[in-house]
Amino acid sequence: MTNLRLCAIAALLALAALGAFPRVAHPLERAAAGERCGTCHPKQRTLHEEGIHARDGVGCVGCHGGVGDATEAAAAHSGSFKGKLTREAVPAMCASCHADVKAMRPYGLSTDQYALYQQSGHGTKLREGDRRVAVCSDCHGAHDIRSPKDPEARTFVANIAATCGRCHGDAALIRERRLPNVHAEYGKSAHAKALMAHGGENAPSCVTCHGVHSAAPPETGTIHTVCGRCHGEQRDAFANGPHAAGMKAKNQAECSACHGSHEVKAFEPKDVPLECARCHAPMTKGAIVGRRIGREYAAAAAHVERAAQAVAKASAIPMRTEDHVERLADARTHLAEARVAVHTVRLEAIEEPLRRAGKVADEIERDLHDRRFVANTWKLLLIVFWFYVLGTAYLVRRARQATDQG
Amino acid sequence: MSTRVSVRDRLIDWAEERLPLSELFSFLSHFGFVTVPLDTRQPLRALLAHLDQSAMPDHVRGPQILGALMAMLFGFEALTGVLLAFHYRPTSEAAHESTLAIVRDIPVGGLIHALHAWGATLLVLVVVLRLARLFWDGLWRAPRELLWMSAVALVWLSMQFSFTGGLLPWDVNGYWSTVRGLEVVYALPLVGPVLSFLLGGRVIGEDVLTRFFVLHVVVLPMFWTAALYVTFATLRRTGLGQTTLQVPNRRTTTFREHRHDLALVALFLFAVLVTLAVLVPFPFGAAADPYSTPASARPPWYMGAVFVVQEHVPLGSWFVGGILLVLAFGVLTLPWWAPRAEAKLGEARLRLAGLATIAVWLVLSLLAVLLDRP
Repeated sequence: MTNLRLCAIAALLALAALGAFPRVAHPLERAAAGERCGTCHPKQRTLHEEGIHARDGVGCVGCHGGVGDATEAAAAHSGSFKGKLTREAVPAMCASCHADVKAMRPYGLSTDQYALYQQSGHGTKLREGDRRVAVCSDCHGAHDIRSPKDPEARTFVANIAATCGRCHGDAALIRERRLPNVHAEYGKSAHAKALMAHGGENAPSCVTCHGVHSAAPPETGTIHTVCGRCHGEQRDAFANGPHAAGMKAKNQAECSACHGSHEVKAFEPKDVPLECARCHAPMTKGAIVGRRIGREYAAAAAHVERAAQAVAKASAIPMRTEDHVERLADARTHLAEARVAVHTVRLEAIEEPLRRAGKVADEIERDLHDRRFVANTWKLLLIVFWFYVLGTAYLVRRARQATDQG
Repeated sequence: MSTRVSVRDRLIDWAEERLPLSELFSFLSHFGFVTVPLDTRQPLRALLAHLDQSAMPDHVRGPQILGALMAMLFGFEALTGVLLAFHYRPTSEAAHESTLAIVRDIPVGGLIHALHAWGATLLVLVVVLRLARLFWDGLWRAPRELLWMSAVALVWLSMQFSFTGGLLPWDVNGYWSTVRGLEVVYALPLVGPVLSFLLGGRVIGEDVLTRFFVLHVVVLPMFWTAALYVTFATLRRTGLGQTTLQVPNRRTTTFREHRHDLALVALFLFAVLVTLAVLVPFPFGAAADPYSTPASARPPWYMGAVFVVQEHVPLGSWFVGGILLVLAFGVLTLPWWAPRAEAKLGEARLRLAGLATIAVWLVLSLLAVLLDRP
């Protein structure tokens, strides 16, 4: 009875131990168990083992065909063996799994990449017989395909510009195809700076505007939609202003006419007059409004900055400034509203938030001034204090001189 | 003499029957201002009357006032320190926040904080000046070796007080100045690793803050009180030193006049400190961030000389620290090696050597202010 019970407990413990530490085969081990291709192709095997396919058990045979567990080259390279795939064959081969809804379901991957690729600039050119366009392996890698979440992946958000730049920044290739060096231009843009500074959480890479698998340049007339996906308020302001209709009539690209396409510039408000002067002749209405926008924004921003300095000075004393810091955030929000309103190019729409920002800055400055005045007034008590000190000193001095000691 | 006995005297007599009041007074006045021998066999009233009539050199017009100033400032620091400790919380999360609350939100907290900080600055100044004065007047000679050694100890302790106290607000300046200082301390051969272990590790964090707090409010005050006791106790045996400075109208007074003078000195010291604290706010920076070093990390003013040497002369931290340690022990043991140096150099030249040391220190401190402006 006791033995039986002991045995049962031991068996339960063993089961629990197995459950607690499930045995995971190392990728090397798994590849070695099934496939022997790496014996002759060690370089490819090493690359493959670093990738996500090795982790999920997709081996050599899945793409290249042949007999994985054969012990001789001739036997291995027989049967369904495809060898090195041609560039034209790559998309369809990848799609054989990645367009298969049932096969991709466990991984939670979408299956429309192949269809999207067909519609892209790359896919269209490939169909037309141009072999020197990007296929799947150019961006994802051939053997070392990694998840886009892997910081070492070519498709990781911070690496995308470099991946596209392998062709779109290649000097010989872009000269031959008469393309602009968009990779270098993007590198100087506000987007690239934000991407590198914030790790890609809130800034666009190439694929954000051009599409991922369906990559193609946005067309004039759709640009404000593309930019507006992130800059929605600026898009709405632009649509409400006279520029929208006027630029459409002249067939000018909406956002990129001022901000540039790849080298996207975020204007300092002081640069606005210069930017207006690129199209509007001096002393015309457009140029005058541009100058006023620049001047009035600069004045309001300087006022808010003065208030910010007063707050910093007060909190260094230290004084209670929590409320003022919050009000300062309000003033900066009004400045941001004005920067959005600049896209309407209507002076009255811009002046309203600037006035609000100035009013808040004024309140902050006045309140701090009052508080510091009160604090400084306390210092006048020093005079009373010194009267007390001198009076006491006089009394002590008199007691010192007193001869009668009681 | 009035035949009526005042309430105060009746109270003293009542206590005298129950407590050895004269011995108690004699012991307590070792930490303060009585430098003459007391006959504790007398009852307290007779002892005080006798003390009031004893002859004293007039301190207020001479450099002997420095010792009294030092004791007063220490009492002042203890008082304001206790008030600050009521509200201060020595953890890395709460240290800056609670100091900010003291300075900004608690009624007269800002004044108490500034008084404590200015008092500390004056205290270091006073103990250093006092050491220079004792050297100049040759008060390290037998039988005043203990007076000299306790004076050196008081300089050390004041600097330790300032160093440990500087970290407590946990603001940018204090934090990085401590980091800089501990780098030198930890680089010392043999002593460094031991101190690093005792002080809670090489990273200046919670552990170091707790130890600094305990050193600042418990350990150092005990040592300071002991050094103060030795100072006044040895004075009762060896007598006050004469000054070599020619002071006009120098005269002898009674202790009764002397204690009134001390009250006046204390009053004006307090008034000067309050004025400084109100008119010149002591700098108090933003919360310390161990992950970003500001460009403006400065040492305390009395360490400017060491700082400028370290910044501009390529010497190892261990070397600079070692020299400081050797210097400190050299000054402490001065009564044992100086007589031989004096025999060789003569009294005037030994004094000049001391003056030259102070001059070098001052010039280097000035350079620190001029060369390394943040």
